[in-house]
Amino acid sequence: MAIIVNLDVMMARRKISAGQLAAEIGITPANLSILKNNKAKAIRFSTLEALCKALDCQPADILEFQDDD
Amino acid sequence: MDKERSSLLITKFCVYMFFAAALVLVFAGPFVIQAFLAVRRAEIAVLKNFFLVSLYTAAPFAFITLFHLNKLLLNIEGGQVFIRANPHHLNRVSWCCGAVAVICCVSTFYYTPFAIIAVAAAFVGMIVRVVKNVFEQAILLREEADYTI
Repeated sequence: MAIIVNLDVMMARRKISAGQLAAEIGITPANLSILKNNKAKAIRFSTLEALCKALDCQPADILEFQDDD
Repeated sequence: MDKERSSLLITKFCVYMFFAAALVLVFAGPFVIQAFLAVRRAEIAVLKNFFLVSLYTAAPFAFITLFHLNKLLLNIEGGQVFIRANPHHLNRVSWCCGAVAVICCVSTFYYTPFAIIAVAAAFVGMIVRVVKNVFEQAILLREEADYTI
């Protein structure tokens, strides 16, 4: 997967659990798990915005590009 | 929703009716063929055994087709439309149509009008394959949507 979602790191820094974060941004814990485990195929801007607000960070803090080649 | 539900019920009814008709034909095959040959020219009456071979060779494929169509309808009725199992059922149906087309093709050697059934079966098989491809793409789109957070 070329785009890596580093949610665990930010969640640990902000000391917020998966359940709390999911409730805060309005998605189910299952969907948050899909995001955390890099199984998501796409993310909505609205979800990214909610994540950045909840974790007080920038998109670059959560998303990382890794070249597969 | 009532319209879709009644459409599904009509389709299920047709599948069960075809199943019943196929069962009757399997058991009454010799009599049906005898009656058919009785109204035809005398010289093809000797082909009774060939007709029976064609009938009983194609019969299993008819039952397999009806089985998979029934499974497909049950999935759709249960709200499971774009799941991996459904293209699998359609694939089996298309191969059965192909098999019947081959049987009818071979049967043209002794009775030419079988060619019409062969072409029809092959055409239906091709249509089912196209529908199967559409289902597969729809499943990809659904998975894409499901995994968009």
